[in-house]
Amino acid sequence: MFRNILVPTDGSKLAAKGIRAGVRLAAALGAKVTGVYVIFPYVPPIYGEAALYYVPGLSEKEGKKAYEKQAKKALDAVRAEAKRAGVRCVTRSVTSGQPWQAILRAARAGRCDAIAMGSHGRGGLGGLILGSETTHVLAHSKIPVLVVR
Amino acid sequence: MYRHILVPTDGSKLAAKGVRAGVRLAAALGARVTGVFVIPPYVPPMYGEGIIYVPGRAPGEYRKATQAQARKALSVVEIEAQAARVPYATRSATADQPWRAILSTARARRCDAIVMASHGRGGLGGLILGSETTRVLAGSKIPVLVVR
Repeated sequence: MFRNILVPTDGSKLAAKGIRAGVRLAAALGAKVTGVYVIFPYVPPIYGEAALYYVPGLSEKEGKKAYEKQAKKALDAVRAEAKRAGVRCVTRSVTSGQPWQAILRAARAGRCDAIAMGSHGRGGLGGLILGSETTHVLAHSKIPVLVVR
Repeated sequence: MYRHILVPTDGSKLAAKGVRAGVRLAAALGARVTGVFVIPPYVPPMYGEGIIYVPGRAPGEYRKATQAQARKALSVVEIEAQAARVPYATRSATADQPWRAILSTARARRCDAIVMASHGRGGLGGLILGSETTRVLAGSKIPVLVVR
């Protein structure tokens, strides 16, 4: 069946459900998992005419460090889950402003043949029937997507 | 892992992809499958002011025709399951809204996962996901595997 299941995570509790399901499925099928975390790119300060100002709270260096720490924490959770289940696991973090595109790119690059993800992530349940990234992944993925609530 | 996978079908070629994936997954996991086909209910003739609806078929004929459709659609599940040596059952349900019948069948049969195609009889029609698949995803409490 599946040999390499992509488990995207944004470090949220809801995403952890997707991780668990992906790892359990991989264990049952003798597959491996590829964990991926998408780092939002650093947004430099913007000084526009009059109204348009954006000053990030952190410098570029600090921001990158903080993001990488978040990524490591989220991917450590994938590795821990895989280790507990005796499933082979690789993880990677990628930088992109559009997580769903980065997720699909990571699936292609890692030659994954399925994706397992939570119905919602960091954005929370927010009254929506499906999270925005999950919706986009479902819409554009050519490989099967397991959606876990 | 999963022990009982629901594979909804509307008899379309696209739905058959979902059936195949569901049966393959069941085979790999040692699970069983239940195929379900949803029959739209018969709409009797309506004569209102300015509105006239006359069904093409009498109720008996309609029932026969839709049951034949259901059998044909579900035979795909049977053939795939037999070929993969997966224990199976099939059911047809009558409902206005296929997604509701799919979810209630999953509950009634105690399925722990649903595998379905991204689109069915409605075709690709420019939509990113088929309407029933979207609603099943929205309403399901058990995991749903969507196959393109």
